[in-house]
Parts: sequence; C-alpha cells; structure tokens
Amino acid sequence: MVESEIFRALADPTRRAIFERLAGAREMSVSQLKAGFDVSQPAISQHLAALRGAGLVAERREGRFAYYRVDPKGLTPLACWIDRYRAFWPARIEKLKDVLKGMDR
Amino acid sequence: MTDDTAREDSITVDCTLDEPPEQVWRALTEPALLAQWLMPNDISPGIGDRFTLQGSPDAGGAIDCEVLAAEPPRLLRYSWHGGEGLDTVVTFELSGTTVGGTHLRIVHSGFATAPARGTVTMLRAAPRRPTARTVMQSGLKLAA
Repeated sequence: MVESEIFRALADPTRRAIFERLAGAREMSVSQLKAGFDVSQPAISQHLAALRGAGLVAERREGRFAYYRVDPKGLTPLACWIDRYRAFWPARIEKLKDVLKGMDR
Repeated sequence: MTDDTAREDSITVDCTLDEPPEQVWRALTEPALLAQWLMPNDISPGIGDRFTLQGSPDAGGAIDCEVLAAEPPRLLRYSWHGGEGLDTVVTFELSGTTVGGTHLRIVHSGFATAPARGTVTMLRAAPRRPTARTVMQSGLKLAA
C-alpha cells in the first residue's frame, strides 16, 4: 500500500524536516539542504533516497549536480487517506443512531 | 454534527443522540451492538484488553486495537492500528444532555505522529490534486 510507504518515509523526524524544507523552496541541492541540519551529507542523501522511493521528492540532474524538489503528486494518497477518515466517522454515527433506536432501553 | 478544524492532528466529530449515556456506552462496548454500526469485532472494554475490528479489505482490512481508557459511561479510548501502518488513537467522550440524551464526541487523533503536523496542515491547505505551486505556497506558510 502506497500510504504505508509515505508514512514510513515521513516517520523519521529528520526526513520530515528535510521534506518540509524542500516544500518551502522551489528546488535545492544536497549541500543547500544540509545547511542548518546537524547531519552529514551522505545521511541527507540517504534521506532523500527514501523520500524519492516514497514518491514524495523528485530529482533533477544537471551535470554532476543533483537538485531536489517536492513532487506534489506524492502527497495525494496521504490526502485521500485523511479524507477517508474524515468521511468515515460521520457515516458511522448515522448507523449508530439507527442501532440505538433499535435497542431496548 | 460539527467538524473541529482547530486541531491539526486529529479528526473530531460531535453529535447529539436521543438515548442516555448508559445506552450509548453499550453500543460502543458490546460486540454484537458495535458490529452493527462500526465493524465485526471482539471488543472487551477493560484497560489493556486487545481486540480486532474486522474492516473490509477495501477499508484497510483488520484494525488492531488496545483499550487505553475505559470509564463507563463517559470515556472510552483505544489505539487504532490499521493496515496502513499508522498508529492512531480513537476517543469516545459521552456526556448526558439536559433532556436525557447523550452528547458524543469522537476524536481520531495521532495523524501527526507519522506525517509532521505541518504536513497535515499542508494537506489541508492543498486542493484535492495539489499543484507544485500550491504545495510550495503551503510549505512557505509552514516556514513562516
């Protein structure tokens, strides 16, 4: 399931912070991303690979440089998941009302 | 029924029921009654008790639960671990109304434990099919 990959990718606080920093910019290189994080460049690259694996981040190569940006399509499954539960409970409450009506007091 | 959008990491649904809290409590905690409105289950409402809600495969499949709080007939809280790999918590708060009914509040919380609080904010701000621009704009709001 795609959602579980997204949740896993965002479960790590550093990875989440990287994702949020990318979301606030148009595009960033690994070294730009590294600034402000107390994490090594290879570690940042590893987090980026995980985010790319979950479809959350896209990479653009230019010569020997790589640039990263948020892939907006990547969040759609997560938005759908939250929407599903937002619709879930009101629908269940309607059923609960019927059950209560049918019970012996 | 209202939807509280103030909390970013949870879904809150409020409703008023005609029946008293004691009766609503039964509908929340007796397997046969709960099955009629939620899902087939083997609920046992003692703190620490584990049970399973048998969700249909298209609804995410089985949900593993553990009772975290049970104070009949006013508070029931259990963990909700679905097939999506996300740990959330569902809380039912019941209070009697002046006309003998029940005010029921359901809070499904903990979405922020997986995606960041800000990520959920971003999802709220983004349209159904977010464009690069809207996600980034929401992201900028986050950073501000």
